[in-house]
Formats: sequence, C-alpha cells, structure tokens
Amino acid sequence: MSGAAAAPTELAFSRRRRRLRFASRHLTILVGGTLLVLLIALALAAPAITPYDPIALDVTHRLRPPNAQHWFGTDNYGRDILSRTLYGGRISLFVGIAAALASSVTGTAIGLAAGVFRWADAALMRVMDGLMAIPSILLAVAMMTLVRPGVLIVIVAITIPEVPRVARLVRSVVLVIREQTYVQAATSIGTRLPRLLLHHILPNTLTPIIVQATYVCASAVLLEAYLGFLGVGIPPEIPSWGNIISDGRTYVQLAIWIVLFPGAFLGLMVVAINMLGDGVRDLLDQRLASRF
Amino acid sequence: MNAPPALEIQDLTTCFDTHDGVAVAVDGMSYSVGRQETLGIVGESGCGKSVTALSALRLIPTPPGRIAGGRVLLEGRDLLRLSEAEMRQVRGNAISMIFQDPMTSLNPVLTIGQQIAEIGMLHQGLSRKAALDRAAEMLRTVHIADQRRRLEEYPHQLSGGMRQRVMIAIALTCMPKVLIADEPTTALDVTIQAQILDLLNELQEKTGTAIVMITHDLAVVSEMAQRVVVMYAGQKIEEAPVDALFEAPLHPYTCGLLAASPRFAEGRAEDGRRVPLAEIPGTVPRLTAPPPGCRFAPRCPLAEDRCRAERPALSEHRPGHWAACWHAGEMPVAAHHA
Repeated sequence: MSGAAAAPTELAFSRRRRRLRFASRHLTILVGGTLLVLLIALALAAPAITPYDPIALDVTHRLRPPNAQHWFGTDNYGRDILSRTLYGGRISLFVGIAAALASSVTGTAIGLAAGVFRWADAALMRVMDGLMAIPSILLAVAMMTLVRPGVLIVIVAITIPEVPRVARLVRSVVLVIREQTYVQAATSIGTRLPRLLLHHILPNTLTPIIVQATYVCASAVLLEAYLGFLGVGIPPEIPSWGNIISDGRTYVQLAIWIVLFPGAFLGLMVVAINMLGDGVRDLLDQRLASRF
Repeated sequence: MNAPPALEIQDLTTCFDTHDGVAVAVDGMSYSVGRQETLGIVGESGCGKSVTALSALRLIPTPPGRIAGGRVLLEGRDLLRLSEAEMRQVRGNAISMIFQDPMTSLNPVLTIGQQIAEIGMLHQGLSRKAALDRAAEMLRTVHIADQRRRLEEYPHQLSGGMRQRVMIAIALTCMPKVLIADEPTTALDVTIQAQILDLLNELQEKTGTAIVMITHDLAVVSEMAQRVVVMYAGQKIEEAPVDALFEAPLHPYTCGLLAASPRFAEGRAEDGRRVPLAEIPGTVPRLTAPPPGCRFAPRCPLAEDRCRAERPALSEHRPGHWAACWHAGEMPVAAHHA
C-alpha cells in the first residue's frame, strides 16, 4: 500500500540525511582528510607528473616567473619549482610520518612501562624530563656536526624530543585505565601481565596516541623545514621544502615564487594534518563531539 | 571424614601502609563456605568485606596493601602459599569474582565475545573458535538471547542487567568451586536485581558452586544466603544462620543495621504513626587507630567501661550463632520490630 511504497524513498532519504549530518558534524575531518590525501597523492605521483627533473639545471631559464612552461617559475639555477615542490613533498611527508611513527611507538612503550611498573616510573620519567629540555633544533645542529647529515638523522633529531610528550600522555592514560574495574576483572580471571598490557590496557590508550601522532607529524613537517632553512637539515642537494625555501631566500626580492610555492604547500600540509587530527579526536571522543 | 569446605578463610589479616600509619583493613577474619552454600557478608562501606574477598584471590595491590597473616584454604589447599603462576591457575578457574558495577567491569574496547572467550582460552586451552562457541553457550546459560549477535557487540550496546549477566557468564565459564559476588546487584535497578539473584540461585543449583555474597543490602542476604557474617571495622562481630540473624540478632550493631533498613524495620508503631528509620550514630572508626576495646563501643548504646577497654571475643551463644559482644542479646529486639 502507500506505506510500502513510501518506505524505500524514506530509507534513502534518511540515509542521505545521515551522510549529510556526518559531513556537517565532521567537516574538519572531511576537509583536512581530502586536502591531505590530495597532497599525498601529488607527492607519491611526483615522478610521473612532474614536467622536469627536480635537480636538472637549465641556466638559460634562470629566475623565470610562473609561466606556461614552468607553472611555479624557476630558481637561480633554472630548476623547475613545481617539480622541486612536489618532490619536496615526498621528503616532508616521509619525515613527518616516520617521526610520528617512531615517537609514538617509543613513547607508548616507555609510557606503558612507566604506568604499569611503578618502580620504573620515577627513573623513566626523570629521563623523559631531561630529554624534554633539549630543543630539537639544538639537538639537530649537534647531531649534524657529529655525523654525516642525512634524512635519518633529521628524523632521529625530530623524534627524540617528541618521545617524552607521547610517553607522558600514555603514562597518564595508563594510570587511569589500570585502576578501572575491568582491568581488575581481567586480573581476577588469571590474565597474564603481557596480555593484560597489550590486550586490555593498550587499546584504551590508542585514541589519544593517534591524536598526538597527527600533531607530531605536523610539527615534524614544520621542523624539517626549519632545519633545512637553517642549513642543518636534509643535505642541500635533496629538494626538501626547507631546502628550497632556504635556497630561495637570497632571491626573495627578485623571485618571490621560489619561497612562495613550497611555503604555501608547507602551510597547507600542516593545516591539513592538524585538521585531520582535530577531526579524529572529535570522532573518537564521542562525549566531546556530541556537545557541539 | 568430612570433605573440607569449598573455601575457608582462617584468621586473615590484611594491612595497608598509609601515610597515617598502618591501617588494618581486615583483622583476624575467618569464615567458611561449603559446596552449594551461599554465605552472606554484610557490613557498612569500608568495613573490609571486599578487601577480605580480594585478599582471598590475592588481588590486593602490593604495596600499599599486604596480607599480614592467616590462611585461605580452597578445598584444603592454602592459596597464600602458592606461587604467582599457580595462583593465576586458580583465579577465574577455581574461584571467580563478580564486581559491583557492570558498567565499568567490562572493557569498553573489546567485544563481549572476546571477553568471555578469553577465560576459556586461558584455563581450558580452547582454540579461539572453540572458546567463542563456549561463550555463546554461556550466554544461553545466563539467558541472553541471540547469542551470536551479542558476541559481536561491545559493552556499551548492552544494558546494565545484560552486562552483569555477561560478567556472570565469564565468572561461571570454568565452573568455579567458589563464586565471590561483590555487591552484584547494587548498581542495578530493583526488577533487574531480582532477575540477577534468581539467575545466581538457578546457576548455583546447576553447578553446585559455593557463593560468597558480599552486600550491604540485608534484603539480598535474606533472599540468597543460608548463613550470614556481619563485619564491622575489619572484624567479624556476628555469624548466624540467616533466620536466626533476622529474628534474634545478638550484636547491637546488627540490631542497628536491621533497624536502619526499610524492609526489616516494619514501619508503623501501635497507634499507626510511622516510625522513622533508626540510624546508627557516628561513623566507622579510623582503621589506623581503632579503639582499644570493642570497635563498635563509641557508637553503641549499651557501651560501658568494660566495652571500651577490653575487646570481646567471638563466642557461640546459640548453636551456630556467634557474636563478639559483652552484651550480646541485650539490645531490645522490639525496637526494630515495633
């Protein structure tokens, strides 16, 4: 009858409305996520889509403003800024994700240990406090003078000062979780400590870890650029965003596009990651999200 | 020869080292519970009911807590002498525990199936699949319909009563000899309470499990237990068969408890006026510095100098009815049956 006929349309309607509601409620995640996916796609596809070799010199076309051949212009050696910017994205992303992963894994392990083994807590946390006091730029400069500069060293230099932040966060969550009845209940059925840690406690700490990891990723991208700009980051022959901007700063009055485009990409990337992080936090923390 | 009781606690003492000194949370506690029997443990919050139970399972966080003395015999075997690895074999297998708040005793990030299956995998050496089959079977036992779907669900998708049923399913998976139920119905509303108690009774008949029912709700005790132990400030002050306790309580504290609970203090005087519920004046003494004599003396209407100076020993006043009081049975019973 009429009810039966109306049902499918109503269903489709409500489904569409649900999607719309999700989209409006999680606008940050949508915008940030889309932007980030786009930037990642551009970076990954760089070898296929860039019109020029990012390190090929072309002295006849030095310092050209953006035009049909060179969309983002060229630098003082005639290198194509578009190609260099997209290739630079690969380095930035790699550094960002690697630093986020490394600091999350190490920090989580240390935080779990400090939260569960009370005898290790004081010692571990004082070491963490010590590490927190070292500015990453200083650490990077020191490490660059000690060892041959490279991508790995930059990642390590960015990771070390971030580890204590993650460790502190995880420790504080673990201190709450370990007192929950369900942890006691798990113990009361004879669960062993390793399983208790990995199966019962760790999954409850994942939300803040994921959120923290996105912030670490964003700040690592930025930090890589600082280090490149200061000349203590990735070796200058590799086109990272920091290096491109650093190269271009001498010509900023003549050729602003050299710093403008990688700078804009850097900004977009950081904004996208942060928006995604905020969105993920809202999505995972339903109590917070429902208030808005 | 008589078989040893399912669980026997002898002279158990548990202390907590605090900044204010040593708090003796459980002081020379003894009780035993036999197969198929339900023992009720009643007392105010903080009197050591739960600590006694947690001590029996050796789940007291150390430090600050420690078991200072006594024995915990599970069918004659002293649990306090076992290694930690042996103890893990006991927990959940021979003794299980149900906690007060079903809202917080299930892990929010694991499915119901994972949480029930865990115990089968731990103690019965079942594969994941077999453990899940067993979990579904246990859900049927605790009267949860649509078991396969429930196994996939997370705790927040279940109501409080359902969650307590799941906790019971977990606790009974290994057919334990002893089930310790720590205020299993306190967090539930009244109709659900009755269902959960019925379920526990029914399952006890099926499995023969001994139940230690910890509660501050005398109504729960009167429905479930055959014998009752009354605790005050870490000590046992009265123990009796359930009918004897409700009809002729010996200890003034027990009389006070009965007079303070709506169901047992029948609410009307002879002229039809409502009799207000009696409260027990004062609060539980600090466990770091308990009174030297009877611990209830500061709040007891019958207290005299002797009570304040000398601690009364537990003695059998009627067959099976023990009390630790210099004035046992002197409290006018009429006061709470008026």
